[in-house]
Amino acid sequence: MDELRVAFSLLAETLSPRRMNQILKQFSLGQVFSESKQVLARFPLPDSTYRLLAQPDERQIREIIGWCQAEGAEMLWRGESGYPPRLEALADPPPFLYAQGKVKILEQDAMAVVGTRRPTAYGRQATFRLSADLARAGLVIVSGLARGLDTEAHKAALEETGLTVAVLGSGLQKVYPQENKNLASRILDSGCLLAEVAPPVGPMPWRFVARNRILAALALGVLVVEAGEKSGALITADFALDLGLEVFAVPGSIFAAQSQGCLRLLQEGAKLVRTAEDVLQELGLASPPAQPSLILSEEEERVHALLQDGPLGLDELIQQSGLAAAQILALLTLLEVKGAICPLPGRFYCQT
Amino acid sequence: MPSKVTSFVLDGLTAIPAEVETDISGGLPSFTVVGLPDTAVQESRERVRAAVRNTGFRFPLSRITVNLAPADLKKEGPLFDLPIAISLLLASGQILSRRHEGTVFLGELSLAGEVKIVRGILPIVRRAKQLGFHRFIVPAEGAAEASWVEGVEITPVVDLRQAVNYLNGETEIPLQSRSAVDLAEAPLELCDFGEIKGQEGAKRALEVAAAGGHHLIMIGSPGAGKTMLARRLVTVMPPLTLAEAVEVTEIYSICGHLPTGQTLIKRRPFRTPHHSISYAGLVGGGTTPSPGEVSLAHQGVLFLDEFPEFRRDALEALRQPLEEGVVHITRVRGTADFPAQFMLLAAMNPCPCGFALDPKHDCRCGGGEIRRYRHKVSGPLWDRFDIHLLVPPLTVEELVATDGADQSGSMRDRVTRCRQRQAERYQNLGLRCNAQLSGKLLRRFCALEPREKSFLRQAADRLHLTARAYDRSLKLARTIADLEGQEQIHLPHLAEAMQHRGSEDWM
Repeated sequence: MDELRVAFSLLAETLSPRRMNQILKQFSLGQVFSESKQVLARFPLPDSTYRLLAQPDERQIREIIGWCQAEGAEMLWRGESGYPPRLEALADPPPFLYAQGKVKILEQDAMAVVGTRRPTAYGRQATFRLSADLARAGLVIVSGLARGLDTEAHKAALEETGLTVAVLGSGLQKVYPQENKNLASRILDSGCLLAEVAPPVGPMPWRFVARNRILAALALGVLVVEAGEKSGALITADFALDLGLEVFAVPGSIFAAQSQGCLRLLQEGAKLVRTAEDVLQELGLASPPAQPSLILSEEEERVHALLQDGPLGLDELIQQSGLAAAQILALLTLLEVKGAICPLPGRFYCQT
Repeated sequence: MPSKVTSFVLDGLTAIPAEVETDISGGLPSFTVVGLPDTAVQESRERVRAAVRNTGFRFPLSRITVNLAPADLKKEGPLFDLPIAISLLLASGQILSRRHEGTVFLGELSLAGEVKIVRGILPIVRRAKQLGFHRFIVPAEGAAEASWVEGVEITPVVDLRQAVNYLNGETEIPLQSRSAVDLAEAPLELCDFGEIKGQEGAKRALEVAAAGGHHLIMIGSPGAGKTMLARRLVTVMPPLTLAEAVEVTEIYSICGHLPTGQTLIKRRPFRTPHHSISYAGLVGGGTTPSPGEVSLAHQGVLFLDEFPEFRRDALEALRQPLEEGVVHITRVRGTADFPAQFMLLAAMNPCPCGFALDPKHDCRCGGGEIRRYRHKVSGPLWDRFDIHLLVPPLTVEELVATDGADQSGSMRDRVTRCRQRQAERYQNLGLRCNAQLSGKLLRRFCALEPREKSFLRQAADRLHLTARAYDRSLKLARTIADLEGQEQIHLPHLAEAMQHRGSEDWM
């Protein structure tokens, strides 16, 4: 990994991608640091940037390079192979990306799936099912590794094909939120993580907005499952519209706060999605191969069927099935292991 | 010739024999007690003086020295009143027989000379017996408590006069006989699981917990019925054996917590300390070490509601008793050990506002807030809970339902049988229940058939079990198999266990 590039990447903490692109247009990477006075003369830059330019922190740079080598992270430089060409459609493409995992999958067709961090059970189930079906149809699922629906989208993709990309709002070393660290390391096995800033940079609120544009640009379209009135998912949808991409939305209850954003999108002309087919048709892709039919025992079938109309809690399952608690609990695990159902927070279960 | 009478000093739960010697010599009249007496023992001079006079004896007008030996051990409490008085009367020639030899005296005196009950009679008698003492003269009120020790002669006395007459051979006092007790005959239970409608999942989890001695944490919104469930846990635990009941009674006896009129604790303790409790209150302490809530919950249930709100140091101090079943309290003046084998039952909200898992309420907590709230319980402590139970909110119809068949009874029968199986299996290993299995023993007693093995591997992979969750599932499967009376763990047992296991991401 090139020291100058890493040094330059540290500028991303204070400079916008637009400014960085402007600098790179007029100066070579070497010049940026050797002739920092001229750079500064041309661009009015903040003091903190001045220090980074005049005396790059060599220790930090070495640490970053060491970390990247140890963790198998690399830098994708704009204009070089490996850099996702779709990002060029952005007004201000990031001049570089830090990537970790199977970078190759960035070449494949992808779908962005986003939604609220505080979903309803319905939202989780919808996200899981649609993402799983889209993944099975061969699409890479791109999302933001946030709590809630992003998490469900990544999990569904991991269950199916493993092809999923998480675009972080922080550096690769500082996965946020912390409870998704496990998920992030699972994604590394078959998918990849992307970040617009150097690995040690922590999460900042505004960066999450900025990363949404990358999320949208990487995909053929954006699917919003549940979003409140002011959800970040809507910002992603806006970016998608700017890029001329298709926006899909899943309808929800008119009473639920979590549905208001999606309903607004639908009013404004987003494509309504009931099944993955709706998305695939619009994109002109083949429908996914039928899910391998589950082989369930008679009792498993009985419990599975109870979940037909949406998620149920443990006690409702016990009541409605007439089976003993011990039996139901055992059946639930068997169904979970077969991938026929999945648990939701608060001891609810739903069909996958 | 100085006289000599035997009594006992209680240090924690260790009883140490103490000699009470009295010497009467010429000189200016005085009454001195030496041998590290505390204030209560110093004051006993006044009580003894009044009691001796008021029961019609002569208080010698001479120089009286009472020595409590061993002299380097701090003597506490009023239990020396009776032995000092007896010793004084012996030295002044008012008791003439040698009947006091080999007898242990315990008791506080009132000014009128009545012998009053003192703390710790049961533990003193039990340990004195182990040291070879067989005859005891104790306050009449405490005689029944002492009688739970087998193979000793307990002579109850009402007042000093009666004690002296007895020693002089003028009256005989019938020995305290042991009242019959049937611990299996359940003392009237005030509540029953049948009163709770629904919550079948929670009831099952609590049954498994009780059966295997697994510590359990309940996570649920306010009003979900966590406390209601917790109160009923003791109703499904097996009745105390006499030996266990005596152990429990001892602890209550030294704190003076024995309910009046009750000489033996027959029900498993259910302790619910408030979350503002101090470190010493929870695990025990004080300048003279006294048992804390963990010991008062010995052989029973310690219920900690609002678990994360407890002081962090108090919570961390739970780890050692959870591990060893004993608390060691070290103070400048020495250490004391108290038994503390309890089932820990904790309850907490899923988030500070409490509604994170409730689909009908909006939770107003941020992710960071929730994480901070949860991290108040450290990882190692969190790992002690074999069962993480999510308690769903009760519906209105469940709340108003009052009828209900008796469920606790049949649950208790199953749990009792299951505990017996475990006791037989582990009798030579120093274990009591499945919850204590770990490492080698876990592999040995939870050996799986190939089919179960491959299922567990598949499940671990599919459900992303951590190594800890894997072990917990095995342990719980062992208990579930025991509940069904089976020696071999089968697939359904494992499958059920996995639903009870704690998972790290229940949010």
